Amino acid sequence: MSTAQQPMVGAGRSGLLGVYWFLGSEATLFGALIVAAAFFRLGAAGWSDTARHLSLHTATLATVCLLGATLGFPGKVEVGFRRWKRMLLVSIGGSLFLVLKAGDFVQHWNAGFRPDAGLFWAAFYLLTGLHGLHVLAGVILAGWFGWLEFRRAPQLPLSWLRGLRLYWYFVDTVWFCLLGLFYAG
Amino acid sequence: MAGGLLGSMDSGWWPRGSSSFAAEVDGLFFLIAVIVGAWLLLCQAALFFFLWQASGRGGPGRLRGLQIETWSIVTLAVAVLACDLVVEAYGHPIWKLIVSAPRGNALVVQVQARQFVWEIRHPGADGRLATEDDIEVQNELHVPVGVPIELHLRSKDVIHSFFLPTVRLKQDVLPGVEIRRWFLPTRVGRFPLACAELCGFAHYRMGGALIVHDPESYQRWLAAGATAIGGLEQGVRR
Amino acid sequence: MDWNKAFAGEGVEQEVGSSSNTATARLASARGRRPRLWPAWLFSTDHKIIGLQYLGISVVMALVGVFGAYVLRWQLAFPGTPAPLYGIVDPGPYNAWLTMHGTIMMFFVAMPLLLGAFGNYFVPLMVGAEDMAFPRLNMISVWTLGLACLVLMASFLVAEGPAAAGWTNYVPLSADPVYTGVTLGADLWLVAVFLDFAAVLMSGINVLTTALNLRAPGLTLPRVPLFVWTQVIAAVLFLFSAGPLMGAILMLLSDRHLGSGFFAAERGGSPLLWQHLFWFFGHPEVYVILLPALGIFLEIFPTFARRPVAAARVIVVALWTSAALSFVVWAHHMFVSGMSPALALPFSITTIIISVPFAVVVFALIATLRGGMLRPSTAMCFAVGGLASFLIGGVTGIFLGAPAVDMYLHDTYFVVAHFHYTLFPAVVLGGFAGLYYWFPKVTGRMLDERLGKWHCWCTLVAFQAVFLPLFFLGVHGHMRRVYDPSYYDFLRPGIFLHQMATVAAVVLVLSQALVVWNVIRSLRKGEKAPSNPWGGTTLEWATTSPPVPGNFSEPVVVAHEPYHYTDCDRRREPVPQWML
Repeated sequence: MSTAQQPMVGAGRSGLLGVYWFLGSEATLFGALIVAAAFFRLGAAGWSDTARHLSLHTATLATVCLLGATLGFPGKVEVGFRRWKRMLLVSIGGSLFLVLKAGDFVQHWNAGFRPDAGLFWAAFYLLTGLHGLHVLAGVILAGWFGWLEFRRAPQLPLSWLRGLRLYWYFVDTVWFCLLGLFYAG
Repeated sequence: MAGGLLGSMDSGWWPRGSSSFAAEVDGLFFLIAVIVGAWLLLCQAALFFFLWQASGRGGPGRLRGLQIETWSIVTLAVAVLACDLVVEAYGHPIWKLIVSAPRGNALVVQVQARQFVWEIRHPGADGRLATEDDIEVQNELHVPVGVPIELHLRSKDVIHSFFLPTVRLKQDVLPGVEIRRWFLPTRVGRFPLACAELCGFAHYRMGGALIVHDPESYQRWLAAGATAIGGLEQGVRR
Repeated sequence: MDWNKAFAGEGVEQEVGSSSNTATARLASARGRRPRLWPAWLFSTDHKIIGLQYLGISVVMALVGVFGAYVLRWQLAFPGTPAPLYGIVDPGPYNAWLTMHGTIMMFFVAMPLLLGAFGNYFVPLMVGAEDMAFPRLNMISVWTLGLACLVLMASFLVAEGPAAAGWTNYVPLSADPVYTGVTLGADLWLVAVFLDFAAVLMSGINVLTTALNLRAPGLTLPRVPLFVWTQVIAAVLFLFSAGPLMGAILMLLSDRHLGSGFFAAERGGSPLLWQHLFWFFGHPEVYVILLPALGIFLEIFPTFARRPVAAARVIVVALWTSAALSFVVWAHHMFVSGMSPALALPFSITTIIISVPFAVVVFALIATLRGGMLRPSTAMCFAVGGLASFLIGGVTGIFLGAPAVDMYLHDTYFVVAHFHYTLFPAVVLGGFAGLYYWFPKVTGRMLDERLGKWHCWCTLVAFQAVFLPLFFLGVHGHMRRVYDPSYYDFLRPGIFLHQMATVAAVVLVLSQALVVWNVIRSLRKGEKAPSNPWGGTTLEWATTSPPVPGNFSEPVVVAHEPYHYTDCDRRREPVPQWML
């Protein structure tokens, strides 16, 4: 325990570094799935035709929600960050995105476009579903952080917020890849 | 020459080849064996020599010449790279030969795999597939000696692997794609045919035979095959 | 704000720790006994205890994996006869056992042992940290692994038995129950492997962050011990290769249950896609296992030869090079898979070239003995035996990297012999080398060296006798994963080699009684171990044996690179890293 006060070589942003590694491995997970889907898209005729079933309006709205939520994170975390309102914005934006996606899923599922209706739909459900799960995790974390801030009980470490911000940027990036893959038919 | 040496061993652990490119494959195997065998001996000898040396000394060893060690290691690694490139340069043309299209007029045979059976469709007397005189046999591939054979390989269900050890040919068979490979049988006789990819609980029984006929017996087989779907019974095993 | 504490949740940790301590104390006083140890042990966030938990998991899983190997070997040597302790082996269970043997040994023994146990225990010690960067994540990781093991073991209990499509789980065989007759077992396999990967990912993030951020003062990157480098590289490899297979597992689960057709040819999907994703992961995975074992050898060689590692910096460069190359060699597992034959050229070139960095490491290890003053020991015996055996595994890979020869040898016993000659020296011989080397540090007791040397020689000789015959079967054209070789006329002459391998395998297993007995005896009445019994130069020898809580009772400062020795007075003395 006595070494706790010792300066370590490179000591500092362990938390953030951990998030970087985590996102690196997440990138290979999404990367592999997106490359596989792109490969199917090149190989299959009729991908664009199927893509027309997706509503561009909903997608635009969902994008706005997700990006709006990103605005909850200021460029510099240190400046005026201890505000639960910002975290609330993140969770509301993320939740709206999820509601829109869920509506999309229900609508297409009921219309008969299920994962067995072709590779487009299989990839659509798998990738946007996995992405949605990531948004959900982000919403829960943002909600929790906001609650901690609101209660002001234990001080919320800045590294947690920085990590969440990084995570949210990653989720945004994946969403843009998915937009290109599925919506830009 | 090296390949010939190995290929001529009829018994023993290296099965004698029975196709035109078997000698080349055996030669490549022999070349690699010589190169890596030399490196292996060198490494083991050095390892145990230094070990013996280090354990024998009573007095102080020398902690000198460490720079030279680094350079020797790098130089040896470059030598390894050179050997690698020799193997690659020697081996690649052989691979190209095996996976290329057959030269000349090849006899086309269609092989369809399904769980635990090879369904092999031979052309009849007209020498063409998909005609009335096609001969369908399970687990037996009948070919005349000295004629290039083109195999059209398909699978109905899972992935199998079409393996003719003496031909030095192995090709996975995929559902949904037709893969073409060729070989030129050079010896008359009965050779093993096996499935080399795990394909289910009776994978081990998905064997058969490659039967290479001389021209006469091939004609006889064609004639007999036209009357009775031959081979079903003896074809079940091996 | 202290970043480390924040993410490790150290503040919360102490609260939890203290509350559980008081709870234990209360429980103990209620029962009128001294506090029981196991809850504290089970819920520990101490990297040393977690390392031991990993060790326990890998040993238990190894028992299952070894039993599987025994069942397979019995059936191959004496087809159709009842195996003692098991009974008649049927084709279905045979395929299940070969699947589970591979899966368990790769994912549930090798990785938990070399990364989980050795990595967790010694990376913080060797970098002079008091614990991992994220202790709670570490605990979650070992728990996730435990859950994965339970899921995998549960598949032995379900109706149709465990997955039976090989550890590579090729589709379509694994995609549809009609092909293997296995339903739930195949799903449990997918879930277990996914969880296992999640566990190793968490552990890898921890190791990486610890090695980068929590190094003791003075421990600059060039001074980091080679074992830590191999752990770091292994973690990076796993981090960037596991994703594709995890994605493939999700796709396969979707194929199996949602009716999608990612891997179904008749619905536009591609069976080869699974193989690409699997091997994109699979080849780095081999190095994830191999590199930490080389790291153990690289620690033991200088310690017992009492001289610096030859070309230590070149080794680090070589290890990184091999890691980078391992991402572009995967299709050498697929030369005859039906992918475009034109791809064979680039992949065989990268494959054959990857021998160069490994040659560097091997040459450096050999050169490390030159001019050394050997201190004979069991650890060194295992390390030298491991290196000598690994050489055979390494050079036989060249045969398989040449596509024209691979076409003949692919999926034969040559491949089986080749990868057992790489993985057995890494996992078993490397693991034992590490055990004999670090046992005094972990337990504070010395192992019996005489018993240890007997154990080493029995293991080495029996191992060669198990796997050398398989090379001969391989060049004879003997396909792997064949339930009954006597079915084929041309394989019958080889059965006596199978019998030889099986007898040797039984001897190999029985001779492990020596190490079990050695460990039990040493734990009870072994000689007390000093803090640095072998004259090691790295930081784990700076602390007491066993290490105190928090690892170092006084701060360590690193003065120079490891593996430093001086000659004085006709004696060779180590100059440990913490000594000026």
